[in-house]
Amino acid sequence: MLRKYSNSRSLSDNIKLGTLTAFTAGMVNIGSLLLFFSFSSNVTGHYAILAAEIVKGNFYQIAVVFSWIFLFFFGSFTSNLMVIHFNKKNTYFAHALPLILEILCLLTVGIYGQYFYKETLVETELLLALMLFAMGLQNGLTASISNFTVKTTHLTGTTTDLGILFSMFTKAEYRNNPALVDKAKLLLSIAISYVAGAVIAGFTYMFLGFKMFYVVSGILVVIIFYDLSKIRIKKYLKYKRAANFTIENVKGYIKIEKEEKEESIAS
Amino acid sequence: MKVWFKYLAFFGIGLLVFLTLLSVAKNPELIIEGEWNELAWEYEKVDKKDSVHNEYEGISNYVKETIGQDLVIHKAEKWQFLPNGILLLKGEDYTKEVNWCMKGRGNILEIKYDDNSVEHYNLTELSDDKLILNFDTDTHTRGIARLTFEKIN
Repeated sequence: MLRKYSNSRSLSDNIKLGTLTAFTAGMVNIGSLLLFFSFSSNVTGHYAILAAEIVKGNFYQIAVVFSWIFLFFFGSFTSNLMVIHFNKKNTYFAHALPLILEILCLLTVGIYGQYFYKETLVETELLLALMLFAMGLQNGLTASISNFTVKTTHLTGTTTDLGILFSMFTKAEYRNNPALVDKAKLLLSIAISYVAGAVIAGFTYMFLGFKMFYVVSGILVVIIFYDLSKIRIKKYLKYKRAANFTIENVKGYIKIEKEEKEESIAS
Repeated sequence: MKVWFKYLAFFGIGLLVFLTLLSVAKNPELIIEGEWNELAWEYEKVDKKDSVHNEYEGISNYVKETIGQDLVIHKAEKWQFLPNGILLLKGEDYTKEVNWCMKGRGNILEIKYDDNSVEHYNLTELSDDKLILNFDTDTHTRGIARLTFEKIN
């Protein structure tokens, strides 16, 4: 999910990354709505709210919403900065680092919310700011490493693209185009996964409360370790193959030498 | 101009805008603190399927009795927001202490009662002398109600 970059990624890589991150984004978005009465993963609404608050002249709300939008932007900025600067040194590390930062942000929200939250407005706004930064990190990472194919924190673009694709499928030439069919599969799996995450968060909110963020962090840890385990297995298999190859070579070499010696003696 | 300077200037301007806005604005939690007097209960939007066709707007007491009978706040005429998250609902020979806090960007007022029940109100308008709350009513009458207050203390 995280090891490959841009066009070297397969449909399966993108679907795995897309569904898991969309699921977490759905959970975080509904979690923030139920706990703090504000969305944390879709920024379009915040732009509309910013405009409305500017019209009303509410400077405090303008400052708050402006900072939320800015933090989402900054999350995406930070994510891609890490990807492009560390990619050549260690691709896996460059792609995992934004997710580690995201986990830290969400764990902070969970722990603070569970043990220290006094429900003041400043606390609410700061926790929402952290969640928006975390969602910016996630969206920036998935978009960056998938060549802008996977965006998981909001569904406006996804729904638009699905609408376009579904209309294209009315013609056989597009219906039989595997690249378009693959794209539709990816977008559909992201949309379904996002809704599933949101619905599950809605149902479990009463029991979990702020613990919901531990579940989200757990899913993100799975994404990180899935690839780490793949890398280790791959390295192990490569090592084993290399080891087998050497032994075979040595055996073969010894056999050939023995035969040659026997032939020379016979002659 | 070096690239890093441009980036620094961009983020610096963003921070400056944020700090300037905060310096001229007042936290809604501070604005709401004090004593507020109820002026009117009104229907802002009424469910069109409502079988009773009355002219609700302006009939403050009727609206209050109809939609507020299941709400604790309906007995109150004065609301006193204290800084420690305590809200005193005062009526005629009646005082009730509940907890309040703000959610969202300061646009939601949450009121918590002793029995752990929670009510949410939209802070439609909050200025130094005027407070307007909106809330959805789903018992007996469906629609959106509006409470208007003036600051007295």
